[in-house]
Amino acid sequence: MSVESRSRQSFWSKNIAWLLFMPAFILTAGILIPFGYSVVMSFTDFNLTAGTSNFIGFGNYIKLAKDPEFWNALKVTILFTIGAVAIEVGAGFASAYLLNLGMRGQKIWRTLFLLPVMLPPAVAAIMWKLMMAPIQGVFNYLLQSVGLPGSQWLGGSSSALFSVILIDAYVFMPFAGMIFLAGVQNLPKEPYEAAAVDGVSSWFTFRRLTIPLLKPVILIVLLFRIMDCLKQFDIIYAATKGGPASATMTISVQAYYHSFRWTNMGYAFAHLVILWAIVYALSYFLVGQWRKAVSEVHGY
Amino acid sequence: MDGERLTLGKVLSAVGLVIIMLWTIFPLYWVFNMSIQTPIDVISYPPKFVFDPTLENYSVVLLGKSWLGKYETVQTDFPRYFLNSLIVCSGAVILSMLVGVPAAYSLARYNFRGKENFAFTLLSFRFAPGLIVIIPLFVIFRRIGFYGTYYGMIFAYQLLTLPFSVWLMRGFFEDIPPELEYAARIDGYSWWGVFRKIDLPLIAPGIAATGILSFIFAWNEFLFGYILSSDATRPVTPSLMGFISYEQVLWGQMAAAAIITLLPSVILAIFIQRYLVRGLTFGAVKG
Amino acid sequence: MVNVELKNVVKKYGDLIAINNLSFKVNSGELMVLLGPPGAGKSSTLKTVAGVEEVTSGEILIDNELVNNFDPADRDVAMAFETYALYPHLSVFENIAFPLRAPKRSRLFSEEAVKEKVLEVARFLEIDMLLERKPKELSGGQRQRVALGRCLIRDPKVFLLDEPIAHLDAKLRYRLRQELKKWQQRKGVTTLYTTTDYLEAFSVADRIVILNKGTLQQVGSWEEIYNHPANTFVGMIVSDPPMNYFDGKLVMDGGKMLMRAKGISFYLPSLTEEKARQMNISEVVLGIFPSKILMSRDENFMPGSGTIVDGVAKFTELRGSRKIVFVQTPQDLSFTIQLPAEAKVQIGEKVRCFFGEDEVQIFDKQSKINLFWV
Repeated sequence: MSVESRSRQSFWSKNIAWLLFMPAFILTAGILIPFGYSVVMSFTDFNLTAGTSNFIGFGNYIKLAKDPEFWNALKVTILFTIGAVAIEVGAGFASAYLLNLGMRGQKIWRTLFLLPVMLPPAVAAIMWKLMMAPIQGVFNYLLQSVGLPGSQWLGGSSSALFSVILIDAYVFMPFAGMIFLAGVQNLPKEPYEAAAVDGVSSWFTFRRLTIPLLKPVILIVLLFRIMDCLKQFDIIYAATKGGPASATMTISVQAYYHSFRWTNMGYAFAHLVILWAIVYALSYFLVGQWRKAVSEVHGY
Repeated sequence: MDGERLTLGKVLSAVGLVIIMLWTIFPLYWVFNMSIQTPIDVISYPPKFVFDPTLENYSVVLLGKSWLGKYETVQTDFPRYFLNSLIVCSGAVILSMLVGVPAAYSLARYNFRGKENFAFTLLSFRFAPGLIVIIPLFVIFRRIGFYGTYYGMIFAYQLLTLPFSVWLMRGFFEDIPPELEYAARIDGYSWWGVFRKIDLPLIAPGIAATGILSFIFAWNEFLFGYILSSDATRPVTPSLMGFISYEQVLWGQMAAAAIITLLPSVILAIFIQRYLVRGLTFGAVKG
Repeated sequence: MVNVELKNVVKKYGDLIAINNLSFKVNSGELMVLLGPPGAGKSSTLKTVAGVEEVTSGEILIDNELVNNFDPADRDVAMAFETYALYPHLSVFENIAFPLRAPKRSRLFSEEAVKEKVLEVARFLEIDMLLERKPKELSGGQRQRVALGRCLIRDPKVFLLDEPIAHLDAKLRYRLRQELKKWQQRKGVTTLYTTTDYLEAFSVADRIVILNKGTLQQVGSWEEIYNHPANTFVGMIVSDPPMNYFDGKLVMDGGKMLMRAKGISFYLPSLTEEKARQMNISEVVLGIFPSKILMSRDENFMPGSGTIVDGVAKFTELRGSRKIVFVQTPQDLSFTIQLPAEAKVQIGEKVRCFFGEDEVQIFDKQSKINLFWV
């Protein structure tokens, strides 16, 4: 075997991993350019219409800390996340339970249950907006026909946040439900048989066996839903555009206005960098917890 | 006594299931209902459950260049938006598959320095707020003339679909034991022969599911299209925002447009139901 | 004819050393068994010979040709994987036919010839009624035979069989190991065969390589290994129950070297004595296979010249046609003896044990090496 062919082969075998990976690497690394751009620009007073940008250090961040609108947006973002995630996890768990009982037509119910998850969230928001119309909307009609008062829904400053939470829950509750369902179906049989033989109560089994075994799945649902809710834009923008009177103004929507309405790009970027930092820190924590839970359950 | 309790439990479960199904289906039913009502029926109060259905809204949305409302006319070009979506989403998916399959294979089969860090970074973009990427892209694209072009849009959309595809397909490749490849190499096949005869047939359903899911994600995407497209290249999902407001009471057409927009995603999703859990969790939960 | 040679082969996975400086040679047409416990590096050795894993250092020669940089497809070896590695999307027939359909061979075999060869192999392995099934519809033993079939259908330079019959039921295993041996001899294909079972190794092997933790322990024929195990590890692995070991001391007694353990003492055979003197050691380990100890309930039992040990049968265990007796002496020496199943022993009974001194292996206590091989 000649020296030449030997070296050619080892070049190929040594670098094949990178050669295969490179194109995807280049394309995805493209994301770092806009991302870095955002971070850098958050330290400037970049004005797109004037075309000027000057370095102002932490100016935008200091302004942010003193801006009551930012604090309101942070509050709305957190309330939205807590509300939506609570409903999605709670109702998702209940749905998974009901869809796992083996009731007649279970397969069809499961398929129908999944539909909302595939809707474009912005379109789902528009659908709900049509139904939530205060005067001619079907929701108020249904409420009034059973003798309950109607609501302003998305138009009321006190009801708007709850309304967008409902829309988010509509789209993403099946996401939580189907993951819980998968988790329940993947539960090992033996521990339950052992528990039954030991004569343990079903509540005890649920608390000491089901919940710990489902912990990785629960954490995955929390990870995806909390992250998505914190940065949710589509649903809120399509449903209320942040209104009325900032009642649904989350950090994302606020940043959008700062960048495209008031051409205060630097300030908008500061919003987004803060939001990203919160999301990244939380996801880092939750991913760590998830890995721990997985290794506890599967023992690797 | 026991029998009675069991029956009560069954009844409660059935009631619960009905509630969940109503919650899921009613909005879809109702919006479809609206989409086949005449402009008079759709704004009548109380809302009509029984009426003479009409396909007029669909023909207006799909064929008409203008929506004739009571007070206003809105110019739209729905077939154009549909075509834009098709071009941009297919472009992003094809690009993601072409570079994603080799990358996923590489991540699954080889060890190289920084591999895990890079893979995790890919995933972490899933959790980054979209605006932090889109607004700079908007600025940069305007500067380099990519704004409003299909190329620019496809590039932006693949930022969504490629990391997802790589991550998911890596899992599918990892499901194939490396010993199968070893065995085929020993049986006399070249690297490419093994990939074609062993890996490809085994991973084909996974690739198809990944492609379809990527397509759905791209189709459902609102923000990227809303900010980066011009009128001529606007995809269908963001286009809906262009003519929704309370002032224009074109509810029937709006409902029809919503139904047309969500239909492709829903139909495709039913085909790959089996892979939904795995896909939506980036492979973290193998449904 | 083809020989296979490994020269100083090292294989590392990260910090883990799977194969540690392994060298041995397999002669043309020889069936060489790699024997060792799980994790000994047997599979890794086969994989490096097959070329699906690169060696970290060292050389692999097939037919006197260095193949380190050869692609697995160009080494012309056939391998049966312990994990079967069946192609899940192909039927049993297509799995077995797969090597014949490789681009470089497909022109040599017509569809008829492929069919004929698959049938021949399938009949041999008793899987000819399963040809239409997919691997997931087979039992573990059936899958293993398909994996074997995919290997046997070829006429390669070398067969690499990784625990090829480990998952079959006992009856088929006994039959197949003989049949496999015959098949291999008829084809004259040089073969590397791994197993954890010493009986299987002894029954099929021309020669045996014993591995532990990636390191070569001994190479040789059945007789060579059984008569003179290279070290205490080999003594342990080629016998069940394992070789009995006692600590002993060498002392000079009137110009001759006396071996002393708890309640045992005898003069060393002259050859061993010479080795011990050369090495200048006094601490040794005595080893004797349970099958080499005779036992009687007769207090005056004395079958010839050798060493007598009196003890008590603590308990017994029946293993198929054999009976294992655990004996303890008043000097606190305990060991096992292998007897025919019919042997009558009462628990707690006094027994007299006998062994010939030439059956005793003497190992250096420090290095655990048999003095015979020094």
